[in-house]
Amino acid sequence: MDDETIERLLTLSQLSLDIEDREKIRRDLDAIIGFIEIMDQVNTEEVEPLAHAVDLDQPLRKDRAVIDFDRDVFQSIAPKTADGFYLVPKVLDQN
Amino acid sequence: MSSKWEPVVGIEVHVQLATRSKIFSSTSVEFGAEPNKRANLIDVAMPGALPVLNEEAVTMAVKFGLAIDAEIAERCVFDRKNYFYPDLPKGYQISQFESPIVGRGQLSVFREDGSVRQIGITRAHLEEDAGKSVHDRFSESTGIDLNRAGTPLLEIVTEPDMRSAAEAAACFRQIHSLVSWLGICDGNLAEGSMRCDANVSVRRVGDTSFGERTEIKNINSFRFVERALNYEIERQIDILEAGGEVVRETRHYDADRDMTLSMRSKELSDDYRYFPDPDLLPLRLSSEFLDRVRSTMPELPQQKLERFITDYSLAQSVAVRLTRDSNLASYFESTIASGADPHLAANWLLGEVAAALNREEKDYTDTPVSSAQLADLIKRIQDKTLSSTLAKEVLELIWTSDDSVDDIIERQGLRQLDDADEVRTLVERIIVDHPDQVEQIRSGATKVMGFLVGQVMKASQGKADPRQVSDLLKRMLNI
Repeated sequence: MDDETIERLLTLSQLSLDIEDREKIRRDLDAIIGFIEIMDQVNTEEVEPLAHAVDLDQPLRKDRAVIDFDRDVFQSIAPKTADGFYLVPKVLDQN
Repeated sequence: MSSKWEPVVGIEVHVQLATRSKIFSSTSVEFGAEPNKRANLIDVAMPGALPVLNEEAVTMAVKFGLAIDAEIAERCVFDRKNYFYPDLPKGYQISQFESPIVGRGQLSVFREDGSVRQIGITRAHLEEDAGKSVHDRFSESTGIDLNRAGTPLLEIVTEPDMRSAAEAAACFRQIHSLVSWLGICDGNLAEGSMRCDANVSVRRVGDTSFGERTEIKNINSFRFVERALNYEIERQIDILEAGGEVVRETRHYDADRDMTLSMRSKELSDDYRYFPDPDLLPLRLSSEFLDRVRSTMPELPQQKLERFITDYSLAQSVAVRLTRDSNLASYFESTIASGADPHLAANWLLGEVAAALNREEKDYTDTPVSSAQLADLIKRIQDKTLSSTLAKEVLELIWTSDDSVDDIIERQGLRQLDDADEVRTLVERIIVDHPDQVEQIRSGATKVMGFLVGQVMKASQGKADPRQVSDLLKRMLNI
């Protein structure tokens, strides 16, 4: 896997790694992709893509609204809150 | 706009579905709650919390599909759309990518003049809304409110079939009207219940391939769709005429400045790495389920429109206006069922009643006048008890009271003068009293006629029939 691809993956996953870890992850990814490539050799032309490993259909929930939770419980484990909001480092408005 | 250039527009409309609970959790979706009071385990993405699909959201998507005569997928899949933003707590949005619930369909878009244009619908898929980021409330932080997170959305994507800003606005309006009609969205644009993105490019007239396009995000009113697109079309034409190239990018419409602005372009932002969400199984829709939904479908605007034209011989443009709003259409029908003439009912509903509702910022669901009262009023116009002027007065009175139309006519003495002699006497008096105007009319200034009719109407306290007065005047003045 080339540097450019590694860089792109890091950006997409919002990670930054030092050189040593980069090399480690490159080895891991090469191994994973090599493994996947074995599967690529199987002829799947007639096989419908699988959307889920389990062959079941999605059950549906009736549209009933319930409010049975306490905001304070969630907010007590959040790093920072104010006036009911969860606070995160300032995000520049994309507009 | 230069006639050498042709705009090409397609829109994407996000419709918040009017369910009670969220798409994957049982949290209420009511608008306006305190921040994060409508954000449960699943909505805040607690590890291990699993989504369960809301049947009603599926039903509503199917209703839309049936209404646009689309293919409904027998089996569809939910995918993860991966990106990082603080108001998206899971780090991905559950959406549909390769297999949407609603496939290709057709939407009839009506123009003001009543003519119709078919716009292709590429697809419509179910997904969850994100939360809201509040940037201006805290000085050091951004506030996150997850109440909206998980609200069911139907994203409707059209083909690039529109050729002007006005046509795109009309299409947005038609989608708004249809989803309101179906009862699958409250249609409240001010509360963000519908949001529109537009893809726009221009090409030389006669070209068959498309030019490079830009995407304008988050336009939230019919008027702004038209204004934003007009600006963007002009901007692209200016660039091309100066020999430049349009850059493919996402732009944002600034309504205050009436212009579109480039949004910070993120090179990798389009790489969402969609894959099927392992937390959700494929959704299979049985033919029994589809039949059940089909049996609950209301008569569609298009069907009603055609029936209005056939049954009541209304003009196409009138039928279009009557069927733009399901409440108006049913008000019209019950007025007719109570015995009113269809043409008069249409005129009054689209004229006086619409104006009065507009003044009071009400809609057809809360008219103070019942359809039966309106029908009584119209019947009194039909049997000539009331002139249209007097009928307007009676409408004002029944607007604010529950009294019957006939009681009001009797009590206020609003009955139209049907005594021909009495009207003739009035007309004669006005002719005698206004020799100058009579002279002007005789020498060709026929516009002055209106003045004399007005004088007679005034003298009769509005009770004369203006048409009868006008005829009489003409006859007596020999013109």
